[in-house]
Formats: sequence, structure tokens, C-alpha cells
Amino acid sequence: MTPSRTFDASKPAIPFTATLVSEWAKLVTVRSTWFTLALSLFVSTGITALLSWATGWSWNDWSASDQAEFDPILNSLAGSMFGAILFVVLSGNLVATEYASGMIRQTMTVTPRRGRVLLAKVLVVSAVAIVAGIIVNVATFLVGQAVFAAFDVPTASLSDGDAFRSVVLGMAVTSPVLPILGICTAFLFRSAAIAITGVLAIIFMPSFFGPLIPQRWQEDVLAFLPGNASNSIATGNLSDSSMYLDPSLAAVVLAVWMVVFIGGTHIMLNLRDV
Amino acid sequence: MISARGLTKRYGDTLAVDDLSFEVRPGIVTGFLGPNGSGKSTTMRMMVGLNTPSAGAVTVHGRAYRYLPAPIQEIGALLDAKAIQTHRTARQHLRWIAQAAGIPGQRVEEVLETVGLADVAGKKVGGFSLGMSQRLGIATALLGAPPVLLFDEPVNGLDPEGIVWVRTLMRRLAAEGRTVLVSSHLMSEMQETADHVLVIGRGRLIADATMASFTTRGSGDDVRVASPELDALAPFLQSAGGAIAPDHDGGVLVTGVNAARIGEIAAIHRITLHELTPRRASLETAFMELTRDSVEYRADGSGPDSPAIEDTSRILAGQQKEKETINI
Repeated sequence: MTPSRTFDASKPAIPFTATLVSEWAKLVTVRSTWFTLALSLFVSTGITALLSWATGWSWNDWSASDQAEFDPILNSLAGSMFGAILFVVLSGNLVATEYASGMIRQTMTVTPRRGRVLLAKVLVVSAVAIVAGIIVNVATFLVGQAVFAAFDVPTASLSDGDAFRSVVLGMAVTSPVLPILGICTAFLFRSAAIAITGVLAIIFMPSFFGPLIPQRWQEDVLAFLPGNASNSIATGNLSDSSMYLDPSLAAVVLAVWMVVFIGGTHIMLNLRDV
Repeated sequence: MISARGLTKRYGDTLAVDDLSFEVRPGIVTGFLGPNGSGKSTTMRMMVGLNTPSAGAVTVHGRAYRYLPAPIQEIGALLDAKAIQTHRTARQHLRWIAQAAGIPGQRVEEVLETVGLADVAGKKVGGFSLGMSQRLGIATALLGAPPVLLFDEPVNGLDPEGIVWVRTLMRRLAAEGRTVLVSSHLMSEMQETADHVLVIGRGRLIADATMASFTTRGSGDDVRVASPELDALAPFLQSAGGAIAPDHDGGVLVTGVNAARIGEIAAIHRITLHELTPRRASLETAFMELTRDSVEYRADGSGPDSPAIEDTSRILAGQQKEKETINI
């Protein structure tokens, strides 16, 4: 190739899809990506199998009212929360390891429009989280039902509207939320540890502090955290909880969180040196 | 063409780059010299948009890097060869960069061949030596076949063969009409490679000159002469256009007449010479003198005693010159 001595305006601009393709290539050429996804499947199904077995084993000791309130969908999905945490680890690492190695400077040199890098990472991680999230959730659900069936505990089927909503549709909408928060936090703090801890705090804050604070605060504050908003979309069964949000409201709440985090991260990326 | 205008970078109270203005022209290798911590890397990072100038601007072909439509096809950079994720193979590493820049995959194989890494393209870069990493970094810079190239300390970690290879590559890229900027704190390396030098110290530009004028500027080359009959020799040298200055150990420094001519004059007049030594200012010496005041921290722990704002030609005129062996 011969060099052009002057600026060549005819050189085609790099399309956003190029950034997207390269971020995808980066994600799949890291062994820890596949390892983390496999671990997520293993941990989710494993924990659900254990909890379901504990339920089945003690089922005959349950009071009639407890047995009547038993929700085979919700109870089979307990393990998925641990899988979701691993998705956050995956997304936090995707960004933070680039800062740790210094390779982020290569990334930002090839794509100096930093918002594109942020958006590309958000999109590839979301795609992985949705596909892997549904696979993990369905597997976890099926393992849970199989264990329940073995102990003659009531079961649910994916063909039930409620089950399908919780296991597949809810996951499709909500699974990218926490990984995206992980990406943004990792860009802001350039550290996987801070990103993962921060997102875990957001996830677990309602469970830790919910019981300790007045119910009005639960409704006004904790209900609007992204973890709870995700739960409200995924599981209609929680509708009697004080923190339950109407799914359409919850969707708006999640959208606002995403806009605030991605937008804020974009602004900070442009302000700071790499 | 790279243009810097009033380029300044401040980190808190520290002025890393202080009002740099220069142009880097195509077709030649420009050496970017300065002691460690003098602001070379910060300047190069601003050239590729990683760091934002506190004041002033640096442009490539008249545009800020961030607004180039195809950035690494315009300017390729080797900044830090070891700043790389170790679990990818060399080919995978170049692939994602090529993909991000819309460069066809075939080009990856070409640059792997060019830098001599084709045989280890499938090996993980974590196992690479510093020299191999430098070659991979150079491959990355060449990937977009850009008309402008930046190399920050490219010979670090290379063996002598590798150093010659880098030198040849730089000269070839310049001969192809590209703009080549190479930073180094190794003066001897630049003397062999660069046609033009930019010297910075403590963030300030202290010289912007051709290599030839940089090394011989000021009083120029001179000749040390020692003779038991200096008083007889002096008038002949002066009438031949020479200027004579006293030197240590009874010798004199003659400028304006070269060593061969001095020898002839002495022979014609049957004057005995004990010493006849042509001396050329080396880049090393010129650089040491020039940056003496601009090294951030001295080895003895004392701070710099005067800012490096002195007139460069005056410093060069007063420089100590190195002896050059006469076996040329």
C-alpha cells in the first residue's frame, strides 16, 4: 500500500459494526468467558438442586398453609441469582482487565470515539447475558422441577404462562441489567473488585436493609433499585410484596437506570485521560 | 504531517508538557529525544487522543486524532508493547484490532510476516519476550498502512540484530514518504537512524534541528593540536583561516582548518606535531549538555538548579567535545 501524504477525505469512516465485531472477538477469545459461563450453569443448577432437595426432603413436615403457598417456579429459580452474579463478574472483568493490562489504550487508539467502545461492550455483553441467562434459567428451572417431582412436591411446567414469563421472558428483559451496571462501574473505577462489589451491593441492598427500615421507605426507595425492578418484571408472583412494582413501571425504572449509568459513564470516559 | 501548537499537559501541579510547538515532516525519520520523564510519552499519547491537552493542540493532517474517520489508517502507534492481554495469540490480538479498524484479515498475516512473527502467530503473547512484544507492537502500528507512524522507544528489549532491523525499517518507512517519529533516550541509536531531532527536557522543546546541524552546531568541528613549536605554527594556521584557542596540557583547539590541512602546513614548514586529533560533537554529548538542566531529579538528589530556557546554540557552543578516534 502506498501512503497518502496528505489527509485523504475519501477514506471511508469506520462503521460502528466494526467496533461491535472486535469487542465480540475480544470477548470470545478470553478463556475465562467460557469458564465463567460454564461455572454459572453449574452453580445455578447445583444450588437449585440442593435447595429443591432440601424442600422435598422436609416437605412432609411443612404446615398445610406453607404447602399451599409453595411456589414451584420461584423456589426452583433460587440458584439463578448466583449465576447472575457470575455474569457481573464476567462483565466487570471484560473492562477492568483491559485497564489492568494497559490494553485499553490500544482499544481507545483504534476507536477514539470512546462512546462506541462503551456501547459495543454493553451490546455484546447484553447478547451473551440474554442467551446464557435463558439457558441457565431454563436448566435451573428443569432441575428444580425434576427434584420436586421426585419428592411428590407440586411442580410447574414451562408451558404455564407464569412459568414461561418468569423463566424465559423475564430473563430476556432483565438479564443484561446487572452486567451493564458491571461494565459501567468497571469503566468508572477501572477495577473489577470495585465493580463487582458495587453491583452486589445494589443487588443485595433491598434484602439486607429492607427488613430494617420503615415500609414506606421500602416502597419509595428500595423498590426502585435495579435488582428489585428486575424481580418485579420477572416474577408476577411477588405482587403481594411491599416492594412490588407494576411491570410497566419497573421497565421504565430499569430504562432510567441504564440511561443514567451508560450516559454518566460516557461523559466520564470523554472527560478523563485513558 | 504532525503539528503541535502550544501543546501543554498539566497533571495537578506538575507541568508534564510545556507549550510545545513543532512539526514532524514526511519522508524523514524524526528522533524525539529526552531523558526519562521529560514528557515524550505524554506528548505521543496526546497525538493519538488518549490524553487531552490542557492547552494547545496536536493534529494529524490538520485534524485532531479523535475526529479522524479511520484513525489507525492515518496514524499507527507503538506506545507500550507490554500493555497487552496475555491470553490471546499474536494473531488473535492483531485480528481484533484489524476488525475494529475495518482492515481485512489478510493484512494481519502480512504484518506478521513483515515483523518476523509469522512462525509464532499462534502462540500466546503472554509467553513473548520483550523483543517479540516490541515486534508485535510494531506490527500493530503498521496494520493500517498509515502515512504517519509513532514509535515510543521501539528498540527497548531488542537484541543487536533486532535493533538493526528496526533501524532499517524506520528508514524504509521514511523513504516510502511516511512521517516517522521515533522516541528514544538512547542517543547513539538516534544518531544512526534519525534525520531530524526534537529534543525535550522537562516538557519543554529545547532543540528542533537537523541531525547534522544538531551535532555540529555552535563552534562546529575542531581539531586538537599539540606541538613543541606551537609559536611557529600558529601564524601559518591563522593565515590559512584558522582560529586558535588554548586547551589543556599545552595543546590548542583549532577551528576553521581541518586536520589534513593542518598536517600539510606543518609538513611544509617542517614543524613537529605531537598530536593532531579531529573532534566531532557527538549527539550524546550535545544531548547531555542540552538536557543537563532539564533532568527532573538528579542522581545526587539535588533539584534542578536552573530552568532549561537557555538559548540552545549558546549551550551547544560551550559543549565539551568528545575525542573521535582517527582510524576512520
